[in-house]
Amino acid sequence: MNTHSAHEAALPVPAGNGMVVGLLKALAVVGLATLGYRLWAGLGVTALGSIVPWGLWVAFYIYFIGLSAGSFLLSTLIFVFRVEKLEPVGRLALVQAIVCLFLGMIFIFIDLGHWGRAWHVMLFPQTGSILTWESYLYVVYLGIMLSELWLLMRADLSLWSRQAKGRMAAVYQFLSCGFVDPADPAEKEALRTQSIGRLRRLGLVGIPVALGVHGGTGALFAVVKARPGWNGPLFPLVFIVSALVSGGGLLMFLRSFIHPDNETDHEVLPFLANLTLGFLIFDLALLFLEFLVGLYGGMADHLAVFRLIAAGPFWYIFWGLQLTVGAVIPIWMLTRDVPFQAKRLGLAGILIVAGIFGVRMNIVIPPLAVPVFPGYDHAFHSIRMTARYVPNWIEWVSSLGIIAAAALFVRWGLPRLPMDEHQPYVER
Amino acid sequence: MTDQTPAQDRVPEQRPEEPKAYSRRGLVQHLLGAGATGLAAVLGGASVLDLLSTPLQAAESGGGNKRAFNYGMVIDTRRCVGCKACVAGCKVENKTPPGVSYTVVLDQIMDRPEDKPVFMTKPCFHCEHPPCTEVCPVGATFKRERDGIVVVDYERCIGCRYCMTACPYGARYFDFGDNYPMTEARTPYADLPSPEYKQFRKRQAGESPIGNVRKCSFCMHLQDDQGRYDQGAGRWPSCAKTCTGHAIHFGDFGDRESEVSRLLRERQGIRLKDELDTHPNVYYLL
Repeated sequence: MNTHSAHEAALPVPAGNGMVVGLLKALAVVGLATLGYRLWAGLGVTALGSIVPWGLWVAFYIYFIGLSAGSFLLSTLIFVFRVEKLEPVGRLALVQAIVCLFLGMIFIFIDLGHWGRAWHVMLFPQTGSILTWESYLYVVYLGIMLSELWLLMRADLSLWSRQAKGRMAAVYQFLSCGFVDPADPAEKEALRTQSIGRLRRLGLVGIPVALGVHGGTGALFAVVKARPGWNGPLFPLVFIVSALVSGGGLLMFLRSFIHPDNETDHEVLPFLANLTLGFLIFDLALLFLEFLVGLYGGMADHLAVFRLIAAGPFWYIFWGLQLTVGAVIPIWMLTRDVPFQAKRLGLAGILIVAGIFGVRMNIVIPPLAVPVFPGYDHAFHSIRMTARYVPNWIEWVSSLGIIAAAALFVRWGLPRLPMDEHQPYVER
Repeated sequence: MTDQTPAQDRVPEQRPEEPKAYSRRGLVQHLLGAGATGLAAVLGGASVLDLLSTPLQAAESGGGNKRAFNYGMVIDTRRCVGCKACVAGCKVENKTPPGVSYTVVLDQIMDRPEDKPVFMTKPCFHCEHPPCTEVCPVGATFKRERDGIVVVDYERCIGCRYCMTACPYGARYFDFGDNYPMTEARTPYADLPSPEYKQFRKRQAGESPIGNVRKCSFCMHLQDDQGRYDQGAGRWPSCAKTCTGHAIHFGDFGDRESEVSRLLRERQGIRLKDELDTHPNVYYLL
């Protein structure tokens, strides 16, 4: 294979990249400092209150868990269902799923009033809570993904640990978990076949787990009968479908902008784009159903949620980000009859990913922003009793800092991992 | 701070061995029992509806109740003048910070601006089937077996606020660490402990109850060792004690002779959002 030339070709830094990296670094430093301040000072520094107790960070939490589950489910197309066209993005999809899972867990961690007690969930589980089940599922899910990635990469890692020098050799040695790739081609092939079989079985177990991870995140909201905007059996399904949409979108973006491969992109990307487009249209249909049933029911509290989403002070999140940026524009871009262009598909992907963030914001905030009793938000005067929650700069800057740090980490890590089979080691 | 609290007075001591173990085990037993009878019923030709409703009824009756008391309130909206003395009384009793008010008074609860206003004082309803305790991932909030009071274990609570989203009645507040100017750190008032849960905590930055979800506990710190209140001695929930119009009646629904039981028998009480089947222990008289 020629991945070598392809990778070398991708290496030269495009103009403007330096500025992006500089910006990411600045954001990471300022954001993580802000986050440190928040962890030290408590949740009082946020704009959250007792009417809207969940806000930006919970939205980011379900956003990244969704991205992770979506990416993982796409990877099972390859490892379980043997969709060969997607094979070149298998490792990328898994790495993306792992990083996004960590991001999701970081966001829910920093949202805790007593983050120092996060371990209570593991030690004092209350089995009646969806959140408990979720916490345990995340651990199983992470285990499955790490095992899969190890099976995929172990031969390359073992080889690299012998080729690399100094610290990196030790790192690859550690990552390969002591696996030594045999020199004998027959043995090599036997192990490879074994890997494929194990990957398939792990993926099979992983499918219900990933569905549980994000369907469960949807259930977290769906079971809350106090909130008409959440309560209903459609919600977990909406979460799974939107997860696939965002996972596909991000994979398209990363494949075309961050980790391109000119040899296979014209095969992989259009296929991925069609898949994502299908999920997106399905997702829009579910959104339509949600509105249809809700509006038809005409219950005041439920209507109030739709009114907030579509015509509230943040209407542009719905019409602008969710529908225009996240749906209309990418659908137009993906359905145009023009010659293949990787960057166009990547751009459509990132727009979809941005749009799903609007979806997440509208899932978390408006259903909470309708007070449980009319006038409850004016029952006494306090900044914590407002139905109009707007994330403040501390919430935004720390969130962007976390994401920037993760982006830099991925940018640093991707070229140092064997992202393609038999990828030759390049000293960095 | 909490270490000095006598062990028997700490909230966790009241914790069931497993959170909600009795109700769940009970439910499973009922389900199994109902399954067996249901099978017989099907063989005998009974309707599927009966089969389905049997375990539900079994769960409703909450068989084998260990409850010694069943505390609750009956609030007479015709006697409420909206003075908010209950809100002030609660605040003084529990020393709650700004943004936390275990009881509130709502007005305009009815859409009839031309008529006389209706006020509604609203503490925690200590529901029979509390949706808030169900969602807690760590069992930090639970319904006490002895008296049905829904409490929060401040040391267990991780501050995820899931319970706040799950309460249909807005009975839960998060302690963001805010202070009134006169209760800021290093003021004399800052050192006044709250008697809540007989834990006598002083609010200090970074320590519980800051960062926790807080709620009305029917002033359970005023109970004696047997779990009894005493209205004559002033050991009575602060809002009921302070109410200027005698609108808030508190007592034990388990005692047929109590004022609240009598009021429920004699008058038509309603419960809010009854359709959610939370079975609040606070009733309103219209």
